[in-house]
Amino acid sequence: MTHPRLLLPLLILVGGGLGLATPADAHTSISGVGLFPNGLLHPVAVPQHLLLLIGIGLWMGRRQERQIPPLLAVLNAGLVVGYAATLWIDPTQITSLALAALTLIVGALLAVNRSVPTVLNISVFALAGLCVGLDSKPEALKANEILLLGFGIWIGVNILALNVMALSAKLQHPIAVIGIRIAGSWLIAMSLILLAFELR
Amino acid sequence: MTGRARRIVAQIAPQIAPLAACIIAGATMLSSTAFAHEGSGMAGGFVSGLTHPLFGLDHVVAMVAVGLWGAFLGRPALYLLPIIFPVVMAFGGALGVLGFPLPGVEIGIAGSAIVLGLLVALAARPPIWIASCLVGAFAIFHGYAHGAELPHAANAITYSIGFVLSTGMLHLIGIAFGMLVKMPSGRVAVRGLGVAISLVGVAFMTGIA
Repeated sequence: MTHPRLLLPLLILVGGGLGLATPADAHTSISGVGLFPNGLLHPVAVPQHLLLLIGIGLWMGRRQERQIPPLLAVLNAGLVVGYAATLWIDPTQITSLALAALTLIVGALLAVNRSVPTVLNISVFALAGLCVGLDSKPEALKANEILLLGFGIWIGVNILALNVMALSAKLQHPIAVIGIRIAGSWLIAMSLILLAFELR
Repeated sequence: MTGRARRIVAQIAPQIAPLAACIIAGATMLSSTAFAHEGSGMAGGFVSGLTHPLFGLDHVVAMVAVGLWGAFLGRPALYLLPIIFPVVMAFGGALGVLGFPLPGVEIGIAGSAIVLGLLVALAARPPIWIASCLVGAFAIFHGYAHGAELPHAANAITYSIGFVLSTGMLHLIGIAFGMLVKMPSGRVAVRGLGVAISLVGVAFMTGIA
């Protein structure tokens, strides 16, 4: 589990990633940095991915320790499959809708703060990985560049999810638990509006 | 500050500090000069969303009133109302974005300030389901106004992040101030603020403000 002192610079990285994101490069590249850093920053530079992964991390932190490895495994498996699939499939509006819908579901899980069947947890994590992977299509790169970017994205997703999970697991005070539930309701609200925009 | 309150702050502060640093860092970096006064792009969308609820006094007082009332009612209302409000508000926002007609939005917003302010002033303690329904009903009007007034150039994702964060922060301000009800003089101050909120609502309803 990440040392709490490491959380501050990592969270500032998230903030910085948001700052780096401009309309033009939300889904392409961040100018001035190489492919690997681009991939690394991708999950924090794309707000839809950022919201979903923050929700995923918060939810993982509320689970028992033995439940976490299978959830991480399916998240990563989904991510790899989704990213590989971008070689043949273009991300569509359905991917954006699915990202918003998954954020809504994760937000609801956090707000309700109750145990749910394992099959639901597994499905949500697998779909989350799949959608993030599908929505990270590289822009016309060579095979080795696609791999380098994908490696960066894979590490970036795990850094973000694991650190938010570590933070969430540390928050055990009743007021902090209420704070996480409120954060869940904020995720629901943001994704509801996003869904409306997508459907408009 | 009492010893217990000091202990809670000491426990929570190290946990909240990284999150606060992240929000500040993100917000600072998002507000680049190019976007500072425009509603365009991701940064512009975030700033537009963040400032939109703050520019309407009727919105601000109603959000603070929700937090105040939650603090007055105690648990579970303390956390249920700030959970219910953004969710139902987002539903109202979605109606606004999708262009569904909703009559009497401005009256609903001003009415929410009057009613919520009065409930705080009177220290009303209805059952939690009534409080939830009331707050939820008012949230639809606030959300609808935000959704319908979205700047066309604003980035939808960052706008929604900004406006939900801003609304949530206003609730937290209300809750923080509402915590004063644990002290006798604080109780008077909170109820007095309820009266002031109600008067602001009246001013908007009658067209004075």
